[in-house]
Amino acid sequence: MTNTDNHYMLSVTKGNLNDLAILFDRYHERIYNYFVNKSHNVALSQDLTQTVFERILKYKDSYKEDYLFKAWIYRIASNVYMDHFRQNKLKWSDIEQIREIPDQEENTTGEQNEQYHQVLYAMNKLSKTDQEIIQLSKIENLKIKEIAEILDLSESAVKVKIHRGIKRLKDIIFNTKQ
Amino acid sequence: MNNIEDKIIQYFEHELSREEAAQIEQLITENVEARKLFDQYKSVYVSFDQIPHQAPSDRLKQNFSLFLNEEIKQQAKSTKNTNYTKTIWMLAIGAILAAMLFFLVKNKADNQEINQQMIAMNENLTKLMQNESSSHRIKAVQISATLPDNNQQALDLLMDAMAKDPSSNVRLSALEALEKHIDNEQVRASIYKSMADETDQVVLISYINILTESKEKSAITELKKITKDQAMDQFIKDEAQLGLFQLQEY
Repeated sequence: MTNTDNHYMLSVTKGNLNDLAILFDRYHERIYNYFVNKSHNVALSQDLTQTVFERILKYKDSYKEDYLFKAWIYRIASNVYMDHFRQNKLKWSDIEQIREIPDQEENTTGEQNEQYHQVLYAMNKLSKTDQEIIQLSKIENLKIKEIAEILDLSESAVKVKIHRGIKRLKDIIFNTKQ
Repeated sequence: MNNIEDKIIQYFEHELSREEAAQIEQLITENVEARKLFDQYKSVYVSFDQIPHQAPSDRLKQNFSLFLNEEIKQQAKSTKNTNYTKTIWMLAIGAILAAMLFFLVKNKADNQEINQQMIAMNENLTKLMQNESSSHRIKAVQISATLPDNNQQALDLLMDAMAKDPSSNVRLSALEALEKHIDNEQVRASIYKSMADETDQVVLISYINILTESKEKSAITELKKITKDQAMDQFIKDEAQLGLFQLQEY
């Protein structure tokens, strides 16, 4: 398998830095959207995406052959996001405020816009871990195994948290908390 | 209803078997409450799919390209520096090896030169030992005594002079020069043989004293021969006897 993410990342670890451009092409949009969905800040998301790829190069020697590249890059992204808030002494409530402001997307109908904003708003009410798990699973479409690796959890724990998060979202959106 | 909710979530998570999924689909056609729950969960799952996927601006790619190019340049510079350091090390090691080789060769050359000088000196000493003047021959003995211990030719000259030189003074000088080589088996054997043939009493006394001071046990036999020699003067026998006492005490 010569065209896998793992192959190119291992090549980068051996000093073939040009191969990072291939991984950038494959992942920069996903990582950018991961940050956009978290922060709703386009400029910040661009900067943080750049930071992720800088960190990949900085910590390339820590990458091991048996790693899942996708899980590894999301773990870096998650850390970059957390670090950004620590360094800037921002509070989570600042983000929640941003997320509560609905903005109209050009390519979506009003009903759809309201629907996905409702779910994003409801996500703010979840615990930080559950928010992360729901985002990785339902928005980034990562597999249970990949999420487990990113968050250092067992696959069964991830599954339980997804179920719990979905149920909680439904209760928040439809005000059906029992 | 909780159990139904769990089943509905499992349904949307694709965790149910085909039969279980069919049961849920059947249930929602028959049960209004179940249908309502199903629709609510469906709405949540559909909402995720509606979250728009945004494309970053070209600036992100441009910045990344700049960053990567800079990193590649740095890497090339670093590799160049590593190679430069490697070259410096290789040159240093090369210089050390060259110096070692130079000294080895020089040492070998020096040794050859010394050997040549030694041969020349031995030849001169041999000539000197053949000189008619005993004082010249004594001079040759004294020079031979200063030569390195491993100069076999000088030792041979001294042993020859000790045994055969017609002058007792030369023989005595040669004996005294060989005293420091008494541990050398060849020298010791030569001393014992020369002592047996020595006719000069002064030189004989010197032999006895040197053997006594050497504390060499094998000298006991030689000294006993003197004490038992009927033709030997008494004062020499007494000196040998005295030497025997001292040697037997050790």
